[in-house]
Amino acid sequence: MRGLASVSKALDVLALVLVLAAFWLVLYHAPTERTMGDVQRIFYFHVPSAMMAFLGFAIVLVASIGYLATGGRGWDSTAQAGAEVGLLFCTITLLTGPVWARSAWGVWWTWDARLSTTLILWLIYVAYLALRGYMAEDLRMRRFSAVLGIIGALDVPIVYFSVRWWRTQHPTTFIMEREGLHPAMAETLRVSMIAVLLLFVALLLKRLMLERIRLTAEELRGEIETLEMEPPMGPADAGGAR
Amino acid sequence: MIPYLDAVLAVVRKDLLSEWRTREAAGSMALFSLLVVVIFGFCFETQRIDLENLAPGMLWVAFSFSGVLGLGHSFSSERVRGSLQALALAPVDRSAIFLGKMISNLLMLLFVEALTLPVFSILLHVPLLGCLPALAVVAFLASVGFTAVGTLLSALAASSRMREMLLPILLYPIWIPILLAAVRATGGVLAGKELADVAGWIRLIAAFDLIFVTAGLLLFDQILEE
Repeated sequence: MRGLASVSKALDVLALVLVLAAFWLVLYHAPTERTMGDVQRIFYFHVPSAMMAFLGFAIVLVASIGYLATGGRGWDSTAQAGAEVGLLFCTITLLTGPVWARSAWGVWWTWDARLSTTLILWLIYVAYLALRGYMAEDLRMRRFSAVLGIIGALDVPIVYFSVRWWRTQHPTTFIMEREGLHPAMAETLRVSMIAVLLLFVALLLKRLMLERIRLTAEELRGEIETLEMEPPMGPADAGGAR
Repeated sequence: MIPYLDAVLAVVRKDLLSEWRTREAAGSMALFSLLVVVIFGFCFETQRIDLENLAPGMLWVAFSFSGVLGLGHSFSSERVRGSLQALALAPVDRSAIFLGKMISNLLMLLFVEALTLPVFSILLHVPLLGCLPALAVVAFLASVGFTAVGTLLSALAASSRMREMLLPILLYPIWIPILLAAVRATGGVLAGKELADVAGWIRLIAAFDLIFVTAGLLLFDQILEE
């Protein structure tokens, strides 16, 4: 636990430094995009966040399968942390997207394939966390949320295809085409991706550690309660209570 | 006969029999579905309902809403006298129980859809007679997917604190892509297209059915374990 804590601290510092560096690069190093102008700069955080959202949800899938296969509590905590941190980045994606879209497309929101897919994903994982929140914390809750985690992930490819067929006329990856990307832009994107990834890992680790502390505290509380409940007079009057 | 199939049919029979005696779910589902159609009738100018865009959406909203009612009932009724525990104790494969529950839910939903369609057609001036066979195929396939995920999630939601409230929250996000496919396919069919013209959507719905019936069969065991 001690070692993990220092790893987590180091990660925090590293993530902070890199995020700040990425900010600087985004503002001063990357050239202004010709047609979209300065607003395109939001892209350097938007894209990595979207990737982290998907990574978080992939973690939920893997950890849910892991939990059902082994029953280890660590898997369940990992799925929970993945969902929470993934949802955070999904929210960031959904918030930064419209800011850009407003000036590029003239509307805050459009029912384009990517946007819709992200929105549905967001809803699925809100549902996942809602289920966890509404159930008493026990074996069943862990098992049920693992089932939902798997179902939700199974739905992702379906969401993707169905929304893509629905909206085929959307502008696709306009900036990721390799030849169109200015070298300074590519460098900036690379740094901001690493920065956001580190931030993701740092948050995930924090959440996992917090959960572990919480579980330990709960265990200790349970132990104290059983100690307090033990009959002080011995077995002689244990039967008389009922 | 094959014992597995016997178990499935026994669950279906039990559900339909108890439904026949109590008439709790199907009646309120049908009534609710009818209400949704009537509400749409008041909310929209019925002379100008667009066959390809508006009408299929209305139809599927009615089906999805009443479907959730039935699914919610399916497992909350099992909890009342511990009959879910009894089911779980039965010496059969758990997936047979899932399949039985799913089929009885599906039959109930199809019944409600069959009742809703003529009312929908008359009240909202949507001509359905010409495309009924194609529409039936779309409705059947999409309903299979709906009840497959729905049965699984209903079992899951039934043991939470918020039961009725939680089920739609869990079900709808997962159902949206197929709702979308069903609405598009229905729109095509209503506009006079052949089934082959909407084959892409049909295939997507079929894929969803396949994935989630399989997922239900595999995962139900995890939910019923007490």
